[in-house]
Amino acid sequence: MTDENRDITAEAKSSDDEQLTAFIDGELSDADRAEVVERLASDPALRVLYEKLRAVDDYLSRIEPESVSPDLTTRTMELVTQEVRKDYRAARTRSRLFSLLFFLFQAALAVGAFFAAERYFHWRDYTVYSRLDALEAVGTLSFLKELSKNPFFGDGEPLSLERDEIAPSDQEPADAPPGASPSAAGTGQDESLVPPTAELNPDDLFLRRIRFQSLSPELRRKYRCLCRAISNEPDAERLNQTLIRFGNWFSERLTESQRNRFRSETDEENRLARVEQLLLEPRPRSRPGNRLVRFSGSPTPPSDSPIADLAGVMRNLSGKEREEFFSLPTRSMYGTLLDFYHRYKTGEGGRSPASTKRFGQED
Amino acid sequence: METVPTDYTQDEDTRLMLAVKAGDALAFEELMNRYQGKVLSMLIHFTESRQQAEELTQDIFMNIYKARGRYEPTAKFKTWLYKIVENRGLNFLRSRKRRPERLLNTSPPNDGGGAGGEENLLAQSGYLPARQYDRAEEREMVNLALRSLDPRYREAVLYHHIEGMDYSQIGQIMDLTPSAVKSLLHRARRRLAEILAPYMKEGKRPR
Repeated sequence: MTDENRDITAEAKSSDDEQLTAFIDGELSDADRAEVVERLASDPALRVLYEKLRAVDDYLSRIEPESVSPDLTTRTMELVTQEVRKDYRAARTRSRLFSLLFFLFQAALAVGAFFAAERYFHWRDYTVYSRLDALEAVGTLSFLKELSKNPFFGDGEPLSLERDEIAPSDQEPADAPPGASPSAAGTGQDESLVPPTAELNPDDLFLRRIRFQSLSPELRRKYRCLCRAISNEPDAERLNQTLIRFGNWFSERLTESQRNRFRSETDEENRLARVEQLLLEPRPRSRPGNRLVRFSGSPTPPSDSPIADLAGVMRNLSGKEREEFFSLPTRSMYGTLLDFYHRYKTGEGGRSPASTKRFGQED
Repeated sequence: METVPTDYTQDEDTRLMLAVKAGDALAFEELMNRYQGKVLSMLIHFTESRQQAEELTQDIFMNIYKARGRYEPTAKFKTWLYKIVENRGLNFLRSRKRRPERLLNTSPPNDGGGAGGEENLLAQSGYLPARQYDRAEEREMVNLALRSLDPRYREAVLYHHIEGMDYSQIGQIMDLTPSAVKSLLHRARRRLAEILAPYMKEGKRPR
């Protein structure tokens, strides 16, 4: 209770007639009202006081609220109207500012999303761009697995398929497809272990992207799926190496007509046979544009390079021997050459003479 | 015991104020029409100047409108409004005590119209017996008597008789218990009975 409450109540208690006021104001309970009525009936002095208070109450009941001049209402409402207009203008300005900020935010978001998507799609497809030639040539995972069993592309130590005649490395092969990347092959690094951005120069990358994007959606999807399938394989690293080797061999070493012959084969078994045949076909004459293909990155061909040896054997064959050799069935040609190569490597046969014994009767 | 919060939104004036908060200027005009006169009456008793009371009334309603966004129905609108009126009125009285020179030439109530000034009323008081039943005159006598009351008594009387508030509502505004309000009103009435006694008996002006 505040001090004021206490003082007021204490003072009024001394007279003990404040119940009369509550009685007049209708603030008493039924019991209290009955008590006051009883006291009024028995106490003339209290009744006199009641009459006085009642008379005052009658006078007070004549108090009326002041009449308000219309001018006051009008002036107040004018101020309110001004306030409403001010609020409206402020709200409109806020709304415009908000719209502008929202638009800018959306625009920034869209630009960011565009670049992020661009980067994402670029990154996602990078491996596909960089191996597009090989992917196109390989076509299916099962074919790649078959290729990986081939000693020239997959099994064993990385093989050097370098030609004995070294063409200037800064020249493009005359019959290389437009997207082929000699620089990727020329680095000699395992592409699967190297960050993609370090592999291709921007121009090369751009050309490959253009070429990839010009493909039909089905083909793009097919090559993406193939890439993903390779990376999901348990021996993904080996398959990737095979893919790179095969891709480089295919795009750099073969002529356009050889490539077309390979592409014309749809059956996987025939394609494998075609690869084996092409491996043994005489290399086209070296032209200024027909450059060296390096698969291992070694600047000079190693002395025990099987391809170099095989190429040497092929070179040592006479025209007739060569004719007889090429008249063999494809599978026999490949096996024959491999047998010879392994015998040669283990010292079971001479170099060229062994081949002459086997391939031709005439020296 | 946990008290259940009262839902003041059932109060029609509170609903109007909530509509004002939501941006309805017409609802505000309706509230002004309902309360402007009563607020003006209260402030005239605080300021004893109609002009100053009008300025304060306008100021109070404008401030209410400007602060409409922060309005929360924590009490009935009427209680909330009169709490503001009381604060402004008491502030006015405090400032008048500090700077009495500013009010030396203050006009009496009704100086802007009505039945004339206090002097005019006093001059007419000699004719009061002949007009004993003139209610307008009686009203003016009551107003004169009220002005000689202590401001707290006067405030309680006005809330009770102009606004018809019960003890509890008056207590909310004046920060008093209902029992204290009852005592306050009782003493105010006894004092008014003394002041108005000469007028009631002989038609003489109250002192």
